[in-house]
Amino acid sequence: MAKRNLGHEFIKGLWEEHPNFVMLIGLCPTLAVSTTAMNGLAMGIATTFVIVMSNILISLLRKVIPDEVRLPSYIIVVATFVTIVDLALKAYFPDIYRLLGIFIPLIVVNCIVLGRAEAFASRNGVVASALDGLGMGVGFTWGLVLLSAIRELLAKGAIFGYTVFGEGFHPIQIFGQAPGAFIILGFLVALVNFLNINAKRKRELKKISDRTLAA
Amino acid sequence: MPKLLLLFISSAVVNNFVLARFLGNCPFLGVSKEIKTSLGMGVATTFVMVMSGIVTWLLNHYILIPFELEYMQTIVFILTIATLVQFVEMVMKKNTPALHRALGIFLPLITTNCAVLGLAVMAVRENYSFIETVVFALGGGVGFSLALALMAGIREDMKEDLIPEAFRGPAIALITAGIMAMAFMGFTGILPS
Amino acid sequence: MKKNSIARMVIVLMAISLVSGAILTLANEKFSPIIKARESDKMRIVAEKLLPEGSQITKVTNYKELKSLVESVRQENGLNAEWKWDPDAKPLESVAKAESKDEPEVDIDWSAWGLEGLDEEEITTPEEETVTEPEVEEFNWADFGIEVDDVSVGPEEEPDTDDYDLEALFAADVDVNTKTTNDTSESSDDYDLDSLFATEVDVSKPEESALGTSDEPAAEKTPAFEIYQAISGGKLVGVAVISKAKGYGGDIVLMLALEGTLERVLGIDVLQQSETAGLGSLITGEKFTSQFTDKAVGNPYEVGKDIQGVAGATISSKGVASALQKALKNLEQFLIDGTVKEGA
Repeated sequence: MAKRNLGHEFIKGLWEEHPNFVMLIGLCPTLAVSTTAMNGLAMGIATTFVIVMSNILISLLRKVIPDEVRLPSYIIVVATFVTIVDLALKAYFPDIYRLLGIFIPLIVVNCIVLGRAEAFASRNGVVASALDGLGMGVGFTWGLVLLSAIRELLAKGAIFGYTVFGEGFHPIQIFGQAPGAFIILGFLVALVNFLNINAKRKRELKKISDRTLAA
Repeated sequence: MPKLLLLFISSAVVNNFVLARFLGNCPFLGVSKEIKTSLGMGVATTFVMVMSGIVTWLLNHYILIPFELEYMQTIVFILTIATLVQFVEMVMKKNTPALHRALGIFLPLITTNCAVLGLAVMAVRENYSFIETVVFALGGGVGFSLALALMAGIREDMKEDLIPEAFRGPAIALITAGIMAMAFMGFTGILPS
Repeated sequence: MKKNSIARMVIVLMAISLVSGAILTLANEKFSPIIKARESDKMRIVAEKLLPEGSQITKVTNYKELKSLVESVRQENGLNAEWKWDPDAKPLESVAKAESKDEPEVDIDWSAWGLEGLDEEEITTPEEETVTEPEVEEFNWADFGIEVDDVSVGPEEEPDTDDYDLEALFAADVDVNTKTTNDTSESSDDYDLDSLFATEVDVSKPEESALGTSDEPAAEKTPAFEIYQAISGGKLVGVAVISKAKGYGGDIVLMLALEGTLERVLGIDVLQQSETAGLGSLITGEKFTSQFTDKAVGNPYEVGKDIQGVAGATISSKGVASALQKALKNLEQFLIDGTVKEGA
């Protein structure tokens, strides 16, 4: 496994194993904070920081931590970084802190963080783990920004606070609220599925045609 | 008393943990394929939620606040929940093996259910009293179970339906959840404030 | 072997806990002063926005100092030295009608359309929700009888006649359709509710319990009651009060800025709220908050009468009103003995 391309560890989180659209983990913050693109970006960056840092530390400690207590240890490590992020945001970006609310402490239970620690960082080297965490974090961030940009556009007619539609635009409030989040994420997941299915079909068709050609 | 009842209704229906507050979505989509298992998950989660609500409230008010350790909240709460889940599993295994067989597989999942930690954090931020925290936790758990069971019922029915390939599985479940959330928004008006 | 592994488990866990505890303590020590400074900074920035420019703004700690400042300013303006907030001020409409004719600076016939306007006050149509500032502005004059000289009519306050007629016409139309229904023509759910609960949520007497929970430590939250004073040229030119009340989705914290005589509102700003997005959250909007600017203090701030609530979010609007009343009540008490009756 160590021989696998390091670049792949980074890239797989961006599409192939995208946390939101393909693996469907970490949905709670995805749905909750995606009201505006700015919120989505802030949450994505905070989560990426926690994933990368905890992946690095857990990978470093993977030989020290006995198997029986690995989950509590991971939780402590992750919670420490989350608390640091929480305090830092509160100190330097109080507005963002207020908007993200309880979802900052909830990064601890974001399945992505613990999932990557358990599935990847506990078995791989530091560099690979860091790249894996970074890939997952960036993947999570772009998913979040995409979802929240769509929601902000429909609910407020703006992206990152810049008005896109003119005065005549009637905001569709429902997309700023809970139902809109579920529905748009549903459609995005379907879109990603659709693209993947199509790609797979094309590959298979190509295989078949290659075979027939060879024959 | 009416205040507590309102709090219960609020956390169970109006501000439903899953559909309005976006908490506990992973199990909501993951364990909602059959009504039976989803009910098991709901009961187990409710139980852990109430227990952790009680323990975290006590910890917060008798240890964290007196020693000015509020910044340790997140770490203390999540460890408490993890320990509690482990403890509940051990007790269940020993005393009620039947229940353990039914709920056991869900227990480890509950630690990472953000509804549980979310409840503890929210109860602190809203400054709930002890009784209020318990009612809030109970309401949250009931709301979670309700959403889970409803979803499972719909998904069981949907198995027979012809759904476009790309929408099958989680995509259609998310859209269904969106429509359910819309229905739950209708409850908003029943609370005075 | 087994003993060994248990010992190792315990040691590793302990070590990790200790290290993380140490890191967190360090982080907390580094960040908490910044957080605290920022909290008070935030208040100061808002206060600077609301209070007169160029004045020196300080947080009030000594009530006697503020009291003497207020008294001297009031005496200068020929007012009773002791300030009292009268929550049961006369209904403003009657005064408005009587006095509006004498208003020299406004060249529009206030009373002519004022009579119509008052009937329509309570009727909001979804499209025209909060567009009635001019009507509202009219009220201050009235209650303000004593100090008319102090109130200068800025050009932006003069209502635009064209707009007005249109609106009156529009509202009159709606009037016919909705007379038999509720006092509002909204379809929103909380509106009905609101009239149901109106008896319970008496705006003129904010519930004592609303702040009941705040006796628990809330060091990191926005303070429930705080006063800032603005001094310019040795004189008190403004006072800003922070106040908190329950809204629809949680606490509403706002800042109320008064001029030095404590008779006129300079403006309000909502500092913290968690109301429904797109409905209750509009209480932070200019349209809603600007209604309070230049209002007389002896105003009951009744939603639907003195101020135009945000459509579909009456409870949020009432929350703002009750926070304002609490602010004034608290300020009154503070000036008497330096204590605060409710909350804080």
